[in-house]
This record gives sequence, structure tokens and C-alpha cells, in this order.
Amino acid sequence: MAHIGEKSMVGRVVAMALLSLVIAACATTTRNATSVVDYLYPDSNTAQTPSVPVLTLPLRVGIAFTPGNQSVSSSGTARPLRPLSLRSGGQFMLTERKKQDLMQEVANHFKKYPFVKDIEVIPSAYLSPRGSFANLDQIKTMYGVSVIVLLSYDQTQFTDEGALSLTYWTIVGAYLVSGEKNDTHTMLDAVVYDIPSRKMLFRAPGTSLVKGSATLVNLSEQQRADSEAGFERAAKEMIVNLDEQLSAFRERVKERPTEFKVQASSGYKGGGALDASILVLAAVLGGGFLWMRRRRA
Amino acid sequence: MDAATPRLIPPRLPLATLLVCGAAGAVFALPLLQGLLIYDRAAIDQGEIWRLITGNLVHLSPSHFLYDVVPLFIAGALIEIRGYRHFAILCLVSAAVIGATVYVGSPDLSVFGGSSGIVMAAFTFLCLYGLEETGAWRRLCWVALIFLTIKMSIETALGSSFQFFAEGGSPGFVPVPSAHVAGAATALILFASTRPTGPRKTRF
Repeated sequence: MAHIGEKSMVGRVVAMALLSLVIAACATTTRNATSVVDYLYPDSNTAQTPSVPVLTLPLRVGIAFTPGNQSVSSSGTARPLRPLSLRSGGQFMLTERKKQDLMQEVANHFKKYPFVKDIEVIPSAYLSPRGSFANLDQIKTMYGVSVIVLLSYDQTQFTDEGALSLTYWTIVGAYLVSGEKNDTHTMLDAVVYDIPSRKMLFRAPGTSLVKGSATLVNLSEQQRADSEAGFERAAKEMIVNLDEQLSAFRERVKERPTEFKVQASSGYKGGGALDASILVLAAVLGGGFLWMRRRRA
Repeated sequence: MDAATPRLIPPRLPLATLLVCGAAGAVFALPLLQGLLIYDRAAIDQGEIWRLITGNLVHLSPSHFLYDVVPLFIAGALIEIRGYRHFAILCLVSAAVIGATVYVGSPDLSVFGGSSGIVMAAFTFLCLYGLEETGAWRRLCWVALIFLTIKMSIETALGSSFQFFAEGGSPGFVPVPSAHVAGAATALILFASTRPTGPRKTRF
């Protein structure tokens, strides 16, 4: 019996050691990210003061991915990390072709609006890391665009046991999400800037979560597939949000005309257009006339 | 009729108003007419000068049409029912002045449409005549005139309209505040040159 007990003890130790190895092997997160914050504001000590944007209709819009190819594989519990502080060596990347496809999809969506004259898809090579507004000014000169849609992404794949968390660092702050084993979290963020005024007009994020089903055997392939699916789902959500945010922005322009100046450029259509106030005036005068007429009768 | 019963003056039929609003409706319903009548700067440069006037009858979306034609109908009907004269002349002259103002003042604008300038002319004309009367109607017209002045001042200062995205909520359309000012100025000049002498008696 003692022998059996000894064997059992050894088995337990071996099993524990193996389990520890497995856990250690799995205790990894892979992250692939670019950041608008780091691209536009690389030096946190230098303040950029936006002025009042003058939007010349119809708009010429550029669309580009913010540069940055950093990714990371890290062990242990994930903690909030700013993307550009990560070290390289990730398992997946958003390829230039994928970026072009995604930008084209967003561009096609923008083209349907009559106030967009044309939209230029700008290759990543034209944007330099931490290029800030000086780089955008170059883009403006090269492509003749005044408004730019900057796309950034942050994708993290958990291959760890138990709950983890990560932080998406966006232009307006951080999102904290929890992750579980083999989950793929993706965030795509579209930030629309008026280049001359340095003013952010609006932003639209899209997030997705692909629940992991990978085994140790097919982990790599499944992660790649999940990564791609994550980008696709996030892109769909981002485009829906772009529509909503664009509507909200149009309302903002209407409500706060002192914050956003709008002017027409050559070849644009315009006309005499009234608003609800003139309808109210018409109702008051018409109603007043009828009331006085009835009173006299 | 009982002698004690006050005699009501039968309302006049606002013929000119019906004609102008009906024409705007017909143009809106017939895209072929829109193409022939819209203010198109390139076509005007080639001699199609009627577009300076007829562009005021063309509307670029359903909401644009409603926002313009409903107030025009009310203002025009009030002018005609109250017996103020020269409304037809006002429509014609203000349309020409608005077209010329847009042509001279907005050389960047290639296409223009809408009758809001005529609407502003009609309301200004109505209120100026109202000042010649007495009682509550006169006071109401004073308030309306002040409102119109403030509205046009703000629009001119901002270079835009109260409602920037006027074309059915779409920003594919830029309001032209100078058209409103041109309409109101035309009404003022026409009123000054044709105004009745002496105070009018309120007529309901």
C-alpha cells in the first residue's frame, strides 16, 4: 500500500508539474495595435490648440491607417498597456492589403454622401510614425484633402486560463475589457479630423469579441482565423457607428454654428432654404389673422 | 340680412398665390421642368437668362419644397385676402432680384434653387402693409418684422442659415442667406414706391 501511495504521490507531482508547464505555456496574450494618440500627440508636453474648423463643401476627405506595427506576446496577467510601448513579435498583423480593403470599404460608405466630393485612400507608407499634424499637413498638400479619417486598431488574443483584462487606449480615453482563454478582442477606431484647424470632428469605434474554440493542436490557425473574423466584425460595427456619429455631428453643426463654420466651394449647389422658425412665423400670422377675423365677426 | 349683424367682407381668392405655389408644385413634380428652369450658372452664361427668375420655383428635395411653399402660400394668401396690392409684381421682381443677387454675389455657386427669398419678400411685404393698419394686427406685424430682421442678420453674420442642413437634413445643400436679404429688400423698395397714403382701416 505504501508503494501504491508513493506512486500516487509521484503521479500527482508529475501531473502538477505538467499542468504548470501547460499553464505557463498558455499564459500568453498577443496584442497588435496602432494608436492615433501616439501618432498625433507624440510629445505629451506639446499642446495642440484646435481652432474653429471651416468646412468647405463638398469635402475632400482622406482616409488612412495610423502607422505603428508594434505587437506583443506577454506572459502572466495582462495589464493595461499603451500600444506603442509594446515590443514587437506578435503572431498576426493587419496586412497592407487588408488595410486597403478596409479603407476602401469605409471610403465607399462615405462616397454616398452628397457633401463628400471625393475620398482618397492614402497608403500607410505616406504616414510616418509619430508624424503628428506636420505629417497630416504633408498629406493635405499631396492629396488636397482637408478632412482625414484616421483608422487605428487594437487587437488582443488571450491564450490564458481564467479571466484577464486589457485596456483599449483611444483618443478619448481607455476602454477596459475582460478576456478569457482564446478570446480575441478587437477594436477599430475611426477618428475624423479637420487638418487645418487640428480639430477632431467626431469618432466612431467598432469592437468585437470572438470567443475562442482553439485547441493546442490548431491554436495558431484558429487564432489567425479569429483575428481576421475579429477585424471584420469590428469593421462592420465601426461603419454602423460612423453613420450614427455623422448624423450626430451634422446636428452639432446645426446647433452650434459658431463652433463649425461651413462654406460652399465652386461647383456646389445651394439655394433659398427656410427653417422651422419661418413656419412658426407663418402659423402665428395666419392664426392671428383668423383669430382677429373671428373676434370681429 | 339683419341690419344689426356686422357685414363680413367676402374673402378674396388668392389667385396669384395659387398660381405661384401651383407652379412650384408642378415644377417639383416634373423633373424635366426642373432641368429647364433651375438656376444653372453655366447655362445662364450661355444665354438662358430665364433661369435667374425660374430658379426660384425649383426645389431640390421634398423638405426643401415644403419649408418654402407652405410659408409662401400662407404669406401670399394673407397678402391677397387682406387686399394688399402688387403681390404678383412682388413675386416676379423679387425672383429676378434674387437671381441677379446670387449670380453676382455667389459666383462659386453653380446650381441654385428654392423660393425662400420670395417667402421673405412676401412676409416683409405683408408686415410692412400691416404697419399701416391699426390694432393688434399692427402690433403683430411689428413683432414679425423685428423677428425677420434678427433672423436675416444672424444668417448673414454666420454666412449660413438657421438650419444649415436644409436639404432634407442633408448637408449636400448650402443655404444662401443673401437670397433672403435680396427678397426682403425688394419688398421694402416695392412697398415704399407703391405704399398707400394715409392710415388704412383694419379689414378682416
